[in-house]
This record gives sequence, C-alpha cells and structure tokens, in this order.
Amino acid sequence: MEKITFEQVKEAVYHEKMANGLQVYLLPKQGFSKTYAVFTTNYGAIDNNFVPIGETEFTKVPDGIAHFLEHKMFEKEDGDVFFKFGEKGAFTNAFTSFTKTAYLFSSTSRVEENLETLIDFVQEPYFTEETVEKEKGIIGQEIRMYDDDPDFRAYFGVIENMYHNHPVKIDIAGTVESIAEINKDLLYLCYNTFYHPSNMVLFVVGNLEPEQMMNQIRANQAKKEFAEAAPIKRHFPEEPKTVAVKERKIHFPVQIAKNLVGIKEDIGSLEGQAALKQEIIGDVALEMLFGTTSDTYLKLYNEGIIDDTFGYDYTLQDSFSFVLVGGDAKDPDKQTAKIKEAIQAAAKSGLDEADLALVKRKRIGQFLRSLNSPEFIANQFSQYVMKSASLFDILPLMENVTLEEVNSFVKNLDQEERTTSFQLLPEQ
Amino acid sequence: MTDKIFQEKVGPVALTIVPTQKYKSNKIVFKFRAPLERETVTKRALLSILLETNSKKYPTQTDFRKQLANLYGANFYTTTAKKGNEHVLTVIFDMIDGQYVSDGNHILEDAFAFIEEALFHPNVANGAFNEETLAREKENLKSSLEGIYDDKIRFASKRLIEEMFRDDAFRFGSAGILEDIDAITAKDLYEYYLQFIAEDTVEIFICGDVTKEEVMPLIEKMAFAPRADRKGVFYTKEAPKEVRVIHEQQAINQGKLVLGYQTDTLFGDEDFVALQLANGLLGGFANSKIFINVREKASLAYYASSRIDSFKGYMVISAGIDEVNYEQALSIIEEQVVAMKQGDFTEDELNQTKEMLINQLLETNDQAQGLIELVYNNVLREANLDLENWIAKIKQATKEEVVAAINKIKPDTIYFLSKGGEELHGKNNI
Repeated sequence: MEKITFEQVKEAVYHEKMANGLQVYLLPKQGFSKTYAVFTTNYGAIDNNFVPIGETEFTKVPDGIAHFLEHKMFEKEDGDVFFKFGEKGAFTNAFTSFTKTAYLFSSTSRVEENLETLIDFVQEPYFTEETVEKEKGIIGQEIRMYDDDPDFRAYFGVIENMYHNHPVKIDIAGTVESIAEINKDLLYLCYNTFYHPSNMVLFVVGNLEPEQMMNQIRANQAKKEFAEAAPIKRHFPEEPKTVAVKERKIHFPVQIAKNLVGIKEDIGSLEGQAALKQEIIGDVALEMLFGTTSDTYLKLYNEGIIDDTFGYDYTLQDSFSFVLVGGDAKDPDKQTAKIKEAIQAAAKSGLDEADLALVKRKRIGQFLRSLNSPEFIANQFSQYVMKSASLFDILPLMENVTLEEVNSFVKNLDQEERTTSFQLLPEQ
Repeated sequence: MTDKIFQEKVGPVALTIVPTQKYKSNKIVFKFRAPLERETVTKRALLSILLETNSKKYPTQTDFRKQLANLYGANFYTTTAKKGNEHVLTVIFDMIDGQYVSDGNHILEDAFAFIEEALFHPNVANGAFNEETLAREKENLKSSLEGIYDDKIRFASKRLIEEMFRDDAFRFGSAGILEDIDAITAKDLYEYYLQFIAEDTVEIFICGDVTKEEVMPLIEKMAFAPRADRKGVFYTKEAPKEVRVIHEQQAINQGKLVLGYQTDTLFGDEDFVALQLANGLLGGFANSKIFINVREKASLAYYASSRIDSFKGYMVISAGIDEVNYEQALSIIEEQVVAMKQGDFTEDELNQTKEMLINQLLETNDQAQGLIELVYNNVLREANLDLENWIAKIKQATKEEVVAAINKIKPDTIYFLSKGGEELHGKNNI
C-alpha cells in the first residue's frame, strides 16, 4: 500500500493494485460521518463492438446493454441487493455513462459489511431469462421518461447531429426495440469481458481506517478467481471529422425553445496528463468565452438572447470529444449566430490575459470547494485513474495554463464544417 | 457526534454558528421570511433575482460576478421556498476558507462586505430599481415559470398542489405568479424592498472554521433595523369528503400519476417521527412497498415513490406509468396504503427503515447546507429535534405508533397527466 500526499489540498490517498489487477484507492476524511464507496468499470454505452474475453472475433451487441447490465446486477438469487444494503442502513445506486459504469453505496455505520456487499454483488453476476424479461418493462419506462425530458432530448439531438457513425450518438439506455434483443447470454458475454478486476477501480472515501480496510479488500479478492487479464479490444467505426447534420429543428411540447450548438473537436486521442491538461484548457477557454464574467455573456444576457440557463460543456474521451454551448432561447437562430460570432471574434483577436487570471482564480477556489464532497472526489478520481491521470493534478495544471494555450483551443473551435446546431422548438 | 453550535441574538437578527474544520469552505446563509401571500409572493421572487444580479457598486452582473470570481470563485445566490405558509428567501454565500489560498487573510471580511453590498445597496436610483435590470429579469422570471410546463414531472406535482390547496395561499409557488409579473413597477418593487429589509424575520447561519468573535462584529455592522419577533404560520388542511380526480392531457410519452394525501402531522409534532417512518416504509426508499410492488413486481414504472411535506402536512405519491396501466397502478398504490394502515409490515422491515432514516440524517451532518436546514427547521417550529434527539426518537418509535400515524392520512386529490388515449376518455373525468 502506498500513501500519496497532496500538500496543497491537505488530502492523502492510499493506493494498492491487487494481484488480480484491481486498483484500490482509499481517502480518509476527518470529521465526516459517512463513508462513500464507488466501484467503477471502464465500460459504458459506447462499448458495443468488441472481442469477448477468450474469443478472437469482434461481436456487436444491442444498444443499451451496458445500462441494462447495470440494472440487472442488483438482482440476485436470494433477492434484491437494495434490501441487503437497506438492512444495514446504506444507500445504494449505480449509473452508466458513455464510457463507464459505476456502483456505489454510502453509509454512516456498518461500513465493513456494506463494502463487502458492494464488492461481492458487482463481482457475482446472476442473470436468468425471467428476470431479464421483467426488467424490459422497467427500463422501457425509464426510456419513456427521458423521451419527455426536453433537456435530455436536446442533448442527444445535438450529439446525433455531430456524429455519423460513432456510438456516442446512441441513447445510453438504448431504445424499446434494441433492449428487446437483450438476453442473459449477451449479458454474461459483456459482463465477463468488461467486469474483469483489471478493468476496474474501487474508491472509498470518508470515515475509514486505511490499513484495516485495505486488508479487508485484499482478503475479499484473494478468495475469488478470475480469468487471466487480457487487454480489451474495442472497435469504433471510422468517423469523419465533419458533422453529420449541419442543422436540425424539431417540435416538442415546450414553452421555450432549447438551443444547442455542438462543435466536434479534431484533436486525436489524448492520454494521461495530456488529456487532463486539454480538459482544463478547454474549460478555462470556454469560461473566458461564455462564462458569467465574460463580455459575451453580459451582452447577450442584456439583449435577452440568453438567460441563466445558458452554459457550456466540454466532453473529452478517448474516442470522441466535443463542445456544447447553448440554453433556453426566445430566438434560437439568433442565439446560434451570436455563439458562432463570439467564437470567430475570439479566434481572430485572441482572449485577454487579465480575464485568464480571473478565471483561473475562480476555478481554483471552486475546485477546492468541490473537495468538500466525498462523492465528487470518489467519482472524479476514479474517472481520472482510468484516463491514467490524477484528480489532484488539476490544481497545478490549472495554475500553469497559458494565454497561448487557451487561444489555440479557441482557434480550433472556429470550424464551420465541424459545427452544428440543434433546436427543440415549441409546437406551433 | 455533532458539532457544538452557538446561537445568539445580534440586535434584531438571530445568529447561529456551526463551527467545524472538516470543510474547505465557509458557508454563510441569510434567511428572510414573511407570510406567504398573493400580494407579495411575486415581488419577493423578483427581489430574490435582483439581489443576486447586481448592486449599486457592481451595476452590471459582470461587475458583480467578477468580484465573486476575485474572491476565489465564491458562490453567491438566492433561493425561494415555502415552509408551510411562510415564504423564505434565502441568500447563500459559499467561499473557500482562507488557509487554502495565499492571500486569504481577509476573506471573511470580504465576504461580509459583499453580502452587505448586495443586501443593503441594491441597484436603485430615484426611489426605483434600475428599470433595465427589472425589465430583463421580469422576462427571465416569466420564462422560468413557463419552463415548469416543460418538465412534466414537476408540472404534474405543481398542478396537484394547485388543486389540493386551491383555497389556500399554499397553492402559489414560491417563485411567484406568472400573471402578476407584468403589473409590478420598479417603484413598487423598491417600496416592497424597503418593507422586506425592515420587517422580514431574519436568521443568519454560518458553517465553517469561524468563531463568534470574528463574526459578530461583522453582523453588528449591518444596518438591520429593530423589528418585532414573528412566529411562523403553520397549519394543516382538512381533506375533502370525497377524493377529487383530475385528468389532464398533453402530448407526452409517459403518464405522470400523482396522489395527494393530507397527513395532519407537522415537523416536531409528537407523531412526526412515526409518520416519517411510515412514509419510509410506504414509498420513501428503494425497499419500500410502492417501489417493490409498482416497479419491481409489476414492472409498471421506473420511478415510484412517496414523500411528505412536514411543514404543510401533506403526502405525495408519484409514479411515471404508461397510460393504459392507470387503473392497475392506482389500485396497487392504494393497496399499499391500506396495507400500511393495517400494519402489514414486519418488525424487520421497520428496523430496516429506521436504519435508512438514521443514515440519511447522519449524511446531512456532512453537508453544511444540510446542517443549516436542520437547525432552521427547528427554529421555525420551535422544536427540539437536533440530530441526537431525532435519532433517539427514531430508535424508540414502535410499530403501533407508525400504524397510528399512517391512519391519520386522508386521500385528497388524484392527478393524472397523460396523452389522453381512448381508455381514459369519459371515465373518471371531472
């Protein structure tokens, strides 16, 4: 077990890689009542074409299967895992993103037992045809709930516009039709390939004693047998650099239009520190361009073109990355035009040094504040481990961002053929 | 178990300090409250927006936000809420503790200076709020209220509340009334602001690594005028003799079913904890009767749960279902309520719910906002449910008490929003 200390933020993390490849991180938090644990696999909605463990050929699986698998992990031969946690006063949940699936609990007592339950339920799959069929009704309702959610529809609408082939364009939960094809054998196939310990990270934060907890995890893992770890082969279709659709408008039962501009990046695949650095530069550049202290924000806000729903998002993953800017709009065409104009102007004349200093100061304070949240630390740290980077490197990297770097990020956004817009308009 | 809190009157305002070193930031919260009334609710909503937008010294929101960015990305915002028939306008300032940054010595003074500026020096000239700012924020408030329609789950709960409390001021949302926005002038609003700042009951909370010696002089400097103490207005409503059933239609995919009950139990009441446990068993957690029977057994829903409002004394059960399953979902839910009333749950299930509830309470102990809300709830209801006391009460609660509490609940209104297929037409519609 190694101890990694982060002086600036007054935190320390204990780390060990288990013999089976599982990465474990423990972060004690003084004075906290609760312990929060998250067990993450590097497997999400986009991993739909891969070579199953022990095989040699690529297999394509139905859309929405990673999310379906997440739901089904909770059901065991002796009942629902929700009960097992409930009996010990713990709260449990799980989530599936484009690239990750994570299982979590938090509790203020009986942490050892709850941790055992978490590790065991994620490492012991139990699927039957009957329970798989029953889940289709529940997930069908989850899909319908999102179908009625305008923000969610706008988000996927603009991603569909950007991508020709990449599976990021598919809804994480799939469709009622695609999940109909899921059966227990397919679930086991995905499970065995992606839930190997060497593809997973366990992070525990809060009221804990590191030596004792690491012993518990070692003992738990030593009892179990797994196949030999092997690198996972994933296939992603060839994706053109340009957007698939330049502009799309659909009508929806909303009162106010939702508008999003999407810009597909062309930066290739980044790893480790380089990816983290790129993410920070992007965030700083976008905050300088569109944040609440920017001139653009003030101008557009005062003209009624944007309101406080206006914002941006930068998503950077191994096989895709994009920028989204937008919000509610009284005149969505005008909002889109103004967003593009702001990018063009900044790409031409460059951003301001004083603004950079201000935005960095703001972000440093915000980052430090977010370390009050055990959930934030555990979820973010786990994600960065899988990108071979460290959450606490954000601070020094942020301090070192240069004007040249943010300007070059903005220049790269000013590309008409990589830009799209999506609008959800009120029904006429 | 919990941090020792300090409470004292500082002139006309009440101060609570929750000293703790476990956070990297300090949270400062000002709570202003007044009775919930149609006449003032929209003005208060607008005021809450204007106070977080700009001020005399920082006349544009960019000036305002730049100063906050300068204070290491401090977060300053306002919210509105209803606590029974009290309207609560909350002002929140959240900022990094000075020890984590190189120039952090004056951070607390800077924070109070900013709050003082925002609260006591709004962007006013000639006895009226800045016209331009007000005009824009009126539009934004309209959009935001219209936007409730776009979130169907929220829209359905809002409609239920409007129907359940149609003769009570509680029917108004804390964020104001759409139709009342236009008529409010910059002069009206300033006049109301003067009343607000002079008469509202004010409670201040600070959670972080601070002492009363540091904080009290900073509060004393603020120009809070003397004001009368006012107790809050809390009462429950009687349920109607016959349940009202309301079906409405919109072009949506999933039907939103919401059922309202009157509970006749408020925060701090003798049977409050028993009702909390009953709600937990019925639909408060993922191992509750409603979740298991509507979702896990019948596969009818993705979300299905119940919650209680313990300041107005009502309970809401909600589920997202296919329209064709309306009757089935309704009867499963009603069966669960009957089962609870008959005491159809085991001691084990009750103990499990106690564990979950205690866990939930202890988790609030880890969040500054949670700690503050807990103290405020006790202040409002003059109750004595600090964490220790509350947990002790949960542990002591018996099955009989839980059954008695749930037997007090009475159905009030059933609201269903759906796309309106053949199955429902002409049936149950009133």
